[in-house]
Amino acid sequence: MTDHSKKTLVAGVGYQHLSDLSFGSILAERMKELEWPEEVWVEDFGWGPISILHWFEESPGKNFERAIFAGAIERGREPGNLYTYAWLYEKPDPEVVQERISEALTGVISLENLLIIAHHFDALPSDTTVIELEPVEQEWGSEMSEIGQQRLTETIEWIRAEVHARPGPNGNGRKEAPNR
Amino acid sequence: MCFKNLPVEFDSEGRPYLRDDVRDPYGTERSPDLNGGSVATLSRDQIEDLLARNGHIQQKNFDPVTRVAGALAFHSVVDLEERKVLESRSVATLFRGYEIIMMGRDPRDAIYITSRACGVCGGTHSGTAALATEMAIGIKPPPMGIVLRNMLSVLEYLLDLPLHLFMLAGPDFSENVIRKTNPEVWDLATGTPAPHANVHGYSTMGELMTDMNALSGSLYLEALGMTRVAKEAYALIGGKFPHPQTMVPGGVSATVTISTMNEIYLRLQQFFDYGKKCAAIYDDIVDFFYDANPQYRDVGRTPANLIDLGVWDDPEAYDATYENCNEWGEKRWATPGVIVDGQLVTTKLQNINLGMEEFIDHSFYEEWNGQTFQTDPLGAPLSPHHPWNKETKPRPQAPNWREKYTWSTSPRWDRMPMDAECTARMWTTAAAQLLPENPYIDPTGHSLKLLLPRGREPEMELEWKIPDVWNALERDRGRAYCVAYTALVGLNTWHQGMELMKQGRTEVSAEYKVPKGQRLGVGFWGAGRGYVSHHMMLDDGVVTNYQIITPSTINASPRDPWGTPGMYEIAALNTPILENSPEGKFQGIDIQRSIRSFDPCMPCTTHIHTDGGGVVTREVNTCACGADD
Repeated sequence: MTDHSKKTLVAGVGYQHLSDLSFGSILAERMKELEWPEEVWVEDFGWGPISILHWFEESPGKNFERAIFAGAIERGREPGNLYTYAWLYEKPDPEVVQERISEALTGVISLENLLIIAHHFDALPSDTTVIELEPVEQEWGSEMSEIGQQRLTETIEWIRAEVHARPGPNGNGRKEAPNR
Repeated sequence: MCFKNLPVEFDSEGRPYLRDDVRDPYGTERSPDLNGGSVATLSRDQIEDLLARNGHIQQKNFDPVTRVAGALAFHSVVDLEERKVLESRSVATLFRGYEIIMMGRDPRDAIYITSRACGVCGGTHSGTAALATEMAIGIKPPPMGIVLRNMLSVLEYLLDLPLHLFMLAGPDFSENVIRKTNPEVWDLATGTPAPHANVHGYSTMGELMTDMNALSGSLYLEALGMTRVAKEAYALIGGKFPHPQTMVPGGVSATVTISTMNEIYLRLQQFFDYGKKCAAIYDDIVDFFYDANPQYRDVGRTPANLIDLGVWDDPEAYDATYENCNEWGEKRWATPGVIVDGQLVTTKLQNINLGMEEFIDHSFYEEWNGQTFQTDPLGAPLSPHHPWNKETKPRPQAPNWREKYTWSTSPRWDRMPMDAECTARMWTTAAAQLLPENPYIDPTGHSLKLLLPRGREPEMELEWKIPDVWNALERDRGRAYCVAYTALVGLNTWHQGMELMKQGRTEVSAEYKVPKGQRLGVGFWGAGRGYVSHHMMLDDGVVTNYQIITPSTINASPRDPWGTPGMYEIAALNTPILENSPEGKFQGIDIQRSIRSFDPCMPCTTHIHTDGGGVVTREVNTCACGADD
């Protein structure tokens, strides 16, 4: 099978060694150790959103029909909860995009920046789902919190069910406000 | 005379010594002679009085300053009637503390840890840490290792410069911004032919400015694409960007073949035409603004005091020793140097090092006690404020304009505020005329001639001339020419690499052991933006002091012990308010252009706070908006 036949991207976004904030990168690492259907491509997106935009503009990035992005974002919600939603967010004001690009250009790794920037440049697959963990622990360290680890396992199970059953992009239908 | 303020003179053989007739030679009681570069400032009481009595005098705070790298806030007080800036304060709002993180570590970790100081110029910090480590442990990379490091820096700058020119500072010259802030300038632009239309393809300044628009302008989008080209080439040697995995003490760990070199060339050569275009665009922008209103010559004006450590080593000359740093420094593709009031005063790395001091009077740090080193490794006098003597002792507190208000320190050279710039490297190289023989770059003493090979565009000679005024527009113009200059250094470097391959000299790293005992090292290097130094002290194989100075630490500095503002602050104070926004919609575009022209990179400037146990806790964020006292 060539890369062109990969249809579903599962990407973890985040920094390493920041306990629950590393949810995305640890998820990608764990998923790469497991067996997945041939059409699934697992990627650690712990890199700059602009570079990821470039990745989406070329093969294999441009070939995906569906993407699932996972990462931890602190939004003041109940710590340890998972939030899943379809990325249906309207394109933000260009000034907001430029702010996010300025951050991205200087190397800031952020799930939300990635989504906003890639969306602005129409680089995201039309079927894009986001999984967010509201972090419990945010301090330096390679270990996630107990709840975080449990959510990690649940997320992998959820993704496995999704990519097998493919019930559609809307997840639980929850639409989150931007982190501002 | 090299130093005017520090009591350091030179014997008949050119060796620096400390004058013995000066009591407390490094005391701060005497105010330095600023070579006519002083700037009038008002006291805080005067400012508060003016604010209380005059409705047209207003505070304008930029927090954060957008379209810059990292967390910078800027406070100003503006007289909207007199159209001038009365007060300016540059505030680095984040502290991160790489100097502290490095304490007690194996020196070999410096390359990988300090790289994380910045998400753009991580490679620069890696490389500078490698140089410091090499000096401290006494090893020298083989020529091919040096060539590949040079190439990594070239490629990093070729990513960094377009970012500034078209994605961060560039939108300041776009239709969208100019229409809003100076509609009369926009009207003029639409009817003004662009002199370099044959190079960049825009027939009027208006068309060019439309394509400078953020997000939608083709120049913005093209720059986004060019960053990719540079990154791809970078990753061929560095493994990844921005934090290369192949930088090691004594060279690089990459396997580079003819095929790799060709893949690099395929990407590098795209910057020959791009360099022509960048210079043509910014020549037209700068000259248009000068013609539109000569007062634009004063926007961001500062004394022509610039500093650079040079960059891109001669593979046969660099030996990583402090003893020979003057010799190998002067053989770089960019000559180290200090410009004071427009004149080159030294090209010696040792002198640049001796003249550098870091003050913390208005920064969130505690003073350190004592002086570990009275002299450098060659016996020349060192200030107690020199980086080899400095200790980083963070003291978070509420900002106060009268006292401490920023996480940036105040680096000074010979007690003067300096401008650290990529243009500084062109200026010192042009003036010194020490460049190695090569077919592409010719320093004339007053300019730098740059012969760009034919690509899709014909061969073209550009000439960057040392400017007669040093301001925001000339900083931006200099950066535009720096694309061509950097690409040509890349071409020279590529030829050197190919020649070494032909000779079979393909070794890229040297073996080493970390010695015991006390050792000193310093990495003299530069980022796309300019000056970067890492000063390192080792004791029995572990780091006992580590100090980083970056271009934005120098430029974003607060007032010094003598009350002299830092360069961002001076630039803003000298800036006339030419903005013509409707009443109540004042944007501060002239101030913003001044600050952005320095290409601020705040992640580098402020170095995760640790608690008493040495555990990294979290970033300390100091909002500048509370500093009303």
